[in-house]
Amino acid sequence: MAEPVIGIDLGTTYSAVGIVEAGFPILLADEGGERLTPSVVWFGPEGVKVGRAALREAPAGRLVRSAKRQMGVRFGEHVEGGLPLVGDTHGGVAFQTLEGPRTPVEVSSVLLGELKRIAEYRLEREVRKAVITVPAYFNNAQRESTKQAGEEAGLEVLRLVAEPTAAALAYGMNKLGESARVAVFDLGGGTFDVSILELRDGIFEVLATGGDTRLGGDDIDAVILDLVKQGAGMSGSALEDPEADGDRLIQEAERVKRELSTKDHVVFRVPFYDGAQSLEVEVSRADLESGAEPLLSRMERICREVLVDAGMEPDEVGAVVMVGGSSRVPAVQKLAEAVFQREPDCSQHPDEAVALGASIQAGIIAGTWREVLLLDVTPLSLGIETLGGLMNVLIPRNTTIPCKVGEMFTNARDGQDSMRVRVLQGERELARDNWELGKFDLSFRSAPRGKARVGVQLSLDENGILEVLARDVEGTGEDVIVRIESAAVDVNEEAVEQMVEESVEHAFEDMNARVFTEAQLKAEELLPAVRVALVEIGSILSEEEQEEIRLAERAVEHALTGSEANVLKRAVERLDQATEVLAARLVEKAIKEV
Amino acid sequence: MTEPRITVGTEKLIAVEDGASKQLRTLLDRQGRPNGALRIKVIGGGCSGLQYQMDLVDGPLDRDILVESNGVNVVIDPKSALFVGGSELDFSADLQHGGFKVSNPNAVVTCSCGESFAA
Repeated sequence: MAEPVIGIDLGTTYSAVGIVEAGFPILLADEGGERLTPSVVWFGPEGVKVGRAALREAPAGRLVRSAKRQMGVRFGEHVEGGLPLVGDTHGGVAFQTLEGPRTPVEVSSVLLGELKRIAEYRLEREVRKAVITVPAYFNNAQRESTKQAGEEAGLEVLRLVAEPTAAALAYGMNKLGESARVAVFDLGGGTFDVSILELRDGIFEVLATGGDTRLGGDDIDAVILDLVKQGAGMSGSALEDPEADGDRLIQEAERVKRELSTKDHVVFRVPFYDGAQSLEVEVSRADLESGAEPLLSRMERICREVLVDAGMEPDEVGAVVMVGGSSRVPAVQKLAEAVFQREPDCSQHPDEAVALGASIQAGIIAGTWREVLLLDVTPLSLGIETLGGLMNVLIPRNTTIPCKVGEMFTNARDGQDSMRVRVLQGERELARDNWELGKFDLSFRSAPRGKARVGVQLSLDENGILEVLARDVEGTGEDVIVRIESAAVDVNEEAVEQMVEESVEHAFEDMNARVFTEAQLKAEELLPAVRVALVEIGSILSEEEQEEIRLAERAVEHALTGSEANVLKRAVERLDQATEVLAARLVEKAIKEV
Repeated sequence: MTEPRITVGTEKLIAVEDGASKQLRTLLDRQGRPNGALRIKVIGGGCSGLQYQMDLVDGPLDRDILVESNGVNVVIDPKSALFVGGSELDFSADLQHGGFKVSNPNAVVTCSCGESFAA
């Protein structure tokens, strides 16, 4: 097996790792079954902790959040937030932890190391190569820092992929036509990004990008906290003291935000918030939407700027792909719809799409991604007509393309030297109810009945082109090849549906007709042979045996005039049984004569 | 939220072969959703006019048909089920044409003599 290449979404608030396996892009879960790892690192006296484990520790002076914001940032140009920042030896910034300064690259490398570990735990093998996503606006220094962090974590960074590109990959190139343009609207926890991409020759190019690194879902949580404050008639300080129950409040605000995506009213509830006093305030979706109005206006302005930068009108955008946890908020979706004048696509998992796209990019590089999750299948069965006007299926419906199936056929009459091959498509038992795709004649060396051997093979290639090959196997060995271009499979969905429905509707009568025809063919073969044999060697049988044969013969003749398949089938079976002795004697006679 | 209405289907709708089952279980375990399912959706388009789209999901949605076959859950929407009927899902590790494959062995029952031929 080739060396695995993992895809990593190194996010501001959450990170994730994935890979393409068996054609599926999947995110790999940690021991707790979690696919998202909080992007936080805790620096303790006896070592570091990452993600959920880090969040369980006392944060003061040791917990680094949002290190991504400081990646490649020069000291003096930085924006404070979280732990105090100091200058590092190369003019960059570092987080002042109780264990000493830690650069954003160091923190990111710890995060990447954890993601590498999760991948190795799930894949049960060493992982050394990765693709990592970065925001589209990241400058060269920021990209270099990200790459460096990967290398410090023991990963060879094969490529840095822009986050919107990854999201577009997850959305799927197959959904977009040639040279399609797609907008990616990414509202994460702390950042907002909008990009317009163009798909050209299978590669996404970022036409324009914009955003605000200080605008995200956290701001919506803050709006909720403000509403709660107003509702509870509290002064700001009690809710803003981070060392108090800040985390509990933020978590509850997050929960309320999520629930307001599907409900109109949610109660914000923190038990025993103030000693014995619980905090309970109802928040409505309408309140949230009006409270979030300034945030929504900022997003709208950014979207319009990006459209201008791309030199495009909203109607030139082929799809609006929504990603990022806060793209779930209905007001945000409404905003995207208003700006781009089309319903946004929310089919992607908001928190996982970027990591899935990174995994797909990794799979493309590793050669494991081939869009195999879309299986082309034959919509209807393909076959040829056989004796009695029956449909003989060679390639059943729902077979994965490409495929190739052949079967041997023989002649029905003595001295026959040609046969007509009628290629059929459909689900009905009788040839006449199916669609004829083509027909041709095949000559073969004349042979007694049942002795000619003609192979017919149907093959469907990747493009849905049907090739029919017929060969006189025993005789000339020559092939006749007929190609049926796309007509074989180029049928519209309704026609297929109708064919399938009709085949179900007529299932019993169709099957009856097939069984009858097959029994009829058998009877037509058996009856003359029995008559001849009775005349030739009938005398060797007992009177009762002869009588049974005559009765059976009459039953078959009678059944042939009717239309009951099972009656005919049983009569033929009875005749077959009754003549077993006769057949055996005939064989003996033949052997003696040789 | 109301409980989703789910119909339980049998392997007559879709049967998962050993290879595919093993592969799917590994994929679901690695994603941390051992109770997840494979969704098969029939969509128009593609070179053949009909395509099967596969996806790994948390579980069935409203009106889905759920089939448990060979230790794996498969979910199919009713429209797609009309097309899927009688299919088998298998997996091949072949480098060239590897991956999941669908076949429909039930249709072969109607075939006559059945001596195979390969050119």
